[in-house]
Amino acid sequence: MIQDSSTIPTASRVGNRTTPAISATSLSKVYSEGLFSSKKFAALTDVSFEVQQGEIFGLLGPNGAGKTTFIKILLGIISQTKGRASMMGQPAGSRAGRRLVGYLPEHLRIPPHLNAYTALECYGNLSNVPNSVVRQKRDHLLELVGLASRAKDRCKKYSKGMLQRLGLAQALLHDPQLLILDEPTDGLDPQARAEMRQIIRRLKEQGVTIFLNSHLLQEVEMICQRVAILDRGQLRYSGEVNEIGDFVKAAAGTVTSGILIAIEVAGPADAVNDGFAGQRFEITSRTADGTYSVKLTVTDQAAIDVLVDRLRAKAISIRALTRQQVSLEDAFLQLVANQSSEAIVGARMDKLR
Amino acid sequence: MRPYLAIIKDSFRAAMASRVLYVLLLLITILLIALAPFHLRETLDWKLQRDVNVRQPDQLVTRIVQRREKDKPVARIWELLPEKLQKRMLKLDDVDAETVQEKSDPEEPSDRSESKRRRDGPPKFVEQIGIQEDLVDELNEIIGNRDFYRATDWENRMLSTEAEGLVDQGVATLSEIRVKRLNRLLITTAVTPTIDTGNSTALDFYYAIWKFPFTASITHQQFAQGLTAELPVYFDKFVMSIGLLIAIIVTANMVPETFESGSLNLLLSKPITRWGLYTSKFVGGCVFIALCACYLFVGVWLWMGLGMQVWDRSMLLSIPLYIVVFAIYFSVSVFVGLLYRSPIVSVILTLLFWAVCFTVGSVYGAVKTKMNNSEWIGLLPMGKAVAASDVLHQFSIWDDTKNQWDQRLSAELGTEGAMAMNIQAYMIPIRDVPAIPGVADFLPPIFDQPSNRIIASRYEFGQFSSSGSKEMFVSAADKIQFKTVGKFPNDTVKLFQTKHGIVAANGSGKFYRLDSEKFNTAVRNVEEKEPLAPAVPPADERTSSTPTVAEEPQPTSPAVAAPTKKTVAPPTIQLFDNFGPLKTVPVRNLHQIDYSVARDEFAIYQNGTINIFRGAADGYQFHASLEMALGFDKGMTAFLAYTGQQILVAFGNGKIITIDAETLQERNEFQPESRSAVRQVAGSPDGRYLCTLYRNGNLWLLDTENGDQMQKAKVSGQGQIGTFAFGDQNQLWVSDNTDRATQYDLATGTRVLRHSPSGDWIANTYRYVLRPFYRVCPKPGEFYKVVTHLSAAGDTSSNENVDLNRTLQASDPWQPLISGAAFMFAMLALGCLVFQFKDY
Repeated sequence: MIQDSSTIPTASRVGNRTTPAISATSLSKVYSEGLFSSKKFAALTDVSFEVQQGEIFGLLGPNGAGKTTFIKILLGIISQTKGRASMMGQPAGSRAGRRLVGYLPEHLRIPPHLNAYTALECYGNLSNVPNSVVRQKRDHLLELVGLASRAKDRCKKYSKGMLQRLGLAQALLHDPQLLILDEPTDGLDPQARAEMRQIIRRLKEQGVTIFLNSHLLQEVEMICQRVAILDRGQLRYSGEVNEIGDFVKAAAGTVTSGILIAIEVAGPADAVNDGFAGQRFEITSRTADGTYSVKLTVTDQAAIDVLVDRLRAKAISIRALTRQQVSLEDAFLQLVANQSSEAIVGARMDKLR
Repeated sequence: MRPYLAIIKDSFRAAMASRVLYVLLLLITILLIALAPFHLRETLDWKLQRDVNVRQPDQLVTRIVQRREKDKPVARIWELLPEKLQKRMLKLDDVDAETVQEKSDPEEPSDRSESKRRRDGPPKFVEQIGIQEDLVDELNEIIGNRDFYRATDWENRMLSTEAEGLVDQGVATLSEIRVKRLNRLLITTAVTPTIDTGNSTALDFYYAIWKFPFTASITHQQFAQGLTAELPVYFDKFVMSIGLLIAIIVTANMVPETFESGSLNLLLSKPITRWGLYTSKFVGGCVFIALCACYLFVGVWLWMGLGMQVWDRSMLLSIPLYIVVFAIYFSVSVFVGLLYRSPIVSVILTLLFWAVCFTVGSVYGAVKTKMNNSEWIGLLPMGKAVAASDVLHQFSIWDDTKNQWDQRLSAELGTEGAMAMNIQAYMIPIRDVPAIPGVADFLPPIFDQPSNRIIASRYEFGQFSSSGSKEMFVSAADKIQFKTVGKFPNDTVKLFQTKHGIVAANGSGKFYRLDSEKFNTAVRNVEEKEPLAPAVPPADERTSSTPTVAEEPQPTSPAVAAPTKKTVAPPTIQLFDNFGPLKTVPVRNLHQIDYSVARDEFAIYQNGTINIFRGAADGYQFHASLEMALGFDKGMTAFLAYTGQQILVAFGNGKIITIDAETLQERNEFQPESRSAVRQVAGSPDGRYLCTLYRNGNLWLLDTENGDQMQKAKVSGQGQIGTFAFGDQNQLWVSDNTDRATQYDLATGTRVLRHSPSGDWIANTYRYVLRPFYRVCPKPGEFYKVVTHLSAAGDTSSNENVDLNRTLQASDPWQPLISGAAFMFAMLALGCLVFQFKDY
């Protein structure tokens, strides 16, 4: 079980806070299929965004969008075809940059002959952490990720979630300034996920920049301040999470400004029509007992108050009224496929039929 | 450094965890436990072994039968033999007498008698062998008889120092083994020289408390030398091959496992270089194997030391060598693992690669043997021209018009001889055979300036040694066409152009002068195609008894043996006449005798003594001798050159001593090479220059008028020189690169002439395809060359008693290691390059 993260061991966070933690400028990657084949595949195309130090940043995208490619370029595991990228002011892939990074890869595989202690010793040494320091830190780190009781068990006996926890521990061992987590909650149970989020938030408080790559949009929405969305190698969005709705709406060209509200009313049809007269509204559903669901956009709160007074004056019963926001999931789906999840599922059901 | 050490450590952890290490260590432990009880003990050498100690089994029977009444010690042996065997021996002796009568038939050459006797019927031949075996068995029974020695039987015989010592102690007080040793010495003395004295000690082998049912008739030193020379070969061929297979299999998973994406991405995200990661993984595998190799080789080394009393450093040298051998193939395995990420593919492709290397090595070895056997081993300057002979005794003359060597003697070989020669050319590396006296020594040709003729011998089927009477071939030097003109004296080892004409020296130390008048008549007869009466050896060689080799202390003078009743009919034409001496010194091989024109003297080296025979009108007679104060084994092979006022002796341990012929005082001592045996020595006619050629192809020159220092000769092809010869006026002919001959003027240090043939397709394929490819490829099964080269058996600087002529020496011992290491680094570099630029 992941423990309280209030005392995560950290070194002094150094570096110029104005330097972006991650910077990508026109980053492109084209894979060639086979040595002599002329077939090429563009995994990234002109991707540019920045991650500021100290923030939790989420990288989103469907499978094959280029998220892992982007991370691999940052870490020097693959080389970019075009463009520039840097980590903590160091060129992507440079050893100096990698010294400042802790990385938890997706599908982590830790050699089965190691146990938690020897794995931490090995990966710590690889980050040039002396054994004496590893020994000082390892118990605390394992306690933090909830593996203390299994520290001496061989990794081949670990579940996927336990491996993820060990992966996180090794990523923290050398006190990185930037933590790149590729699907960190993959394989964790709900409680452990919550604890993982807590650790991440705590690290942020200590000044560590977190770059998160996750499929779990709700999770990203919960902890990330900013996100970037990739789709088929292209950047669809980069910015604040709570501004993504406006961005999506702006992109769709539906409303430029105002508050979207959903209202459920009951009354005669004529009265309802009169009540909403002068507004651009949409009746989304109507029941046999005369209950209507209506969506409309108003300029501000005063307009909502006026609308409520007018409906009540016409003896229309207001059963519910909610302010409507675009969820990250909807925004994501609209951005990557330009259609809602219901529409996608509906289309797939049609195909099945 | 810490990150890379962590990778090596992790490789080790993986090996430990997989239990492979434990299994390997267990297997090695079982092997060592099985070897541990095997040990040896030195004992006195007493047992007679027919194939080892009995030099002349037929003569042994004859000697006992013929001297059973007049010689007391032989009579004592005779009376202890069973009656049945006595009768068989007497009967056999009668048969032999009949055979001798048959031999006297002038129509049948004497050297065919043996084959005729065999043709006459298996029963006689089989009976002869049976009697010899039974006699040796009975002699061994007599050796065990405590009452064999009776003082009265030996009153008039000179016993060896060892035998006298034992007799003085009192036979009754001697232990059983000492009695046996005494009896063995007595029997040897009684029937000398048909049985050798053997070694003073022999070896008994034991497994725990059980003794093996045989005694090895070798000294511990000989055993140690053999073991240190041979063990690396077997270890290389078997242990390293099998060990390599196991090692490659157990380590094949190391790299593919690391390169699985979930594992590799994490490693690559760490602040380490890719080449460092790749190299560390490689080193990790090597360290793992190194541990196993250390355990095995140190274990065997301890067993050899404690059990066999042979503390041989070659075993310890095998540890790094085995690691290098493994590293070479592991570099391939790692590279394949990098490309395919599959242990199975790694193992298969690595073993395939090994097989390709092995095949290339085998083909190269066979062709190289052929090339080496085509190498010139002798050059014969003939005025301005030069003739050359190869190891199979094929004789060639340079043809300027064809730019090739023109082979002259091969056409005269019969079908059988040609077939045997071809088999030898490809299968037997004659030049690499240790130069045991008599082996691979042929009678070299000679140029007779007055008659302008070449006198030569030729390869004869099945005949390696110089014994027997060889046919003599003669040709005009300017128009080469060899004709058979008579025979050389029996056992001729070398021909010399002396002040008295051409003189042949034979193995018994006798000289025979070629009668120039008869020779010219015979040559004319042959050239005019007139019938020639059968030629025969000189008169005193026409006996059936083999000349006595005076190596053993003889109670009587070693002069020519008196003719016996077996004398054959006189010759019709006798080309050679006796030319001294009265007192002979045996000549073990052609390298131990030489002639100085300036002093008209022969010098013969024999067991640490140089004997000088001076010329006179009636022949060469003993003049003086010098017993050399050698700090090492006197029985060591030696090469002697006598020219001008200098005698040079080069020994099997590489040591060279020069002696002033006038004062017979040692002048100088050199040792330019301590790891290579001497191949040839010779001096310039005026005695100023003396050259020594080593088996490693290096030619060293001693200029006696310029500091008396030995220097590497300034000639091209050093390291590949096969032979050399001095022409007139300090002209030095050097043959290198198989069959290239170059003439140098030593006075000016300039190159005068070069005969460089364009080469046939085999030679060109060998030089331009096979050899370069072989040099690049690793060489499985050849790494023993390095160990042998570095072992005590291959270096005389640490042990002067090592005779390098008796150990197998590789021509280029470092080559397997150098090319293997170069290949390994190339593979590693390639792997690093691929890894560096590959996306994962």
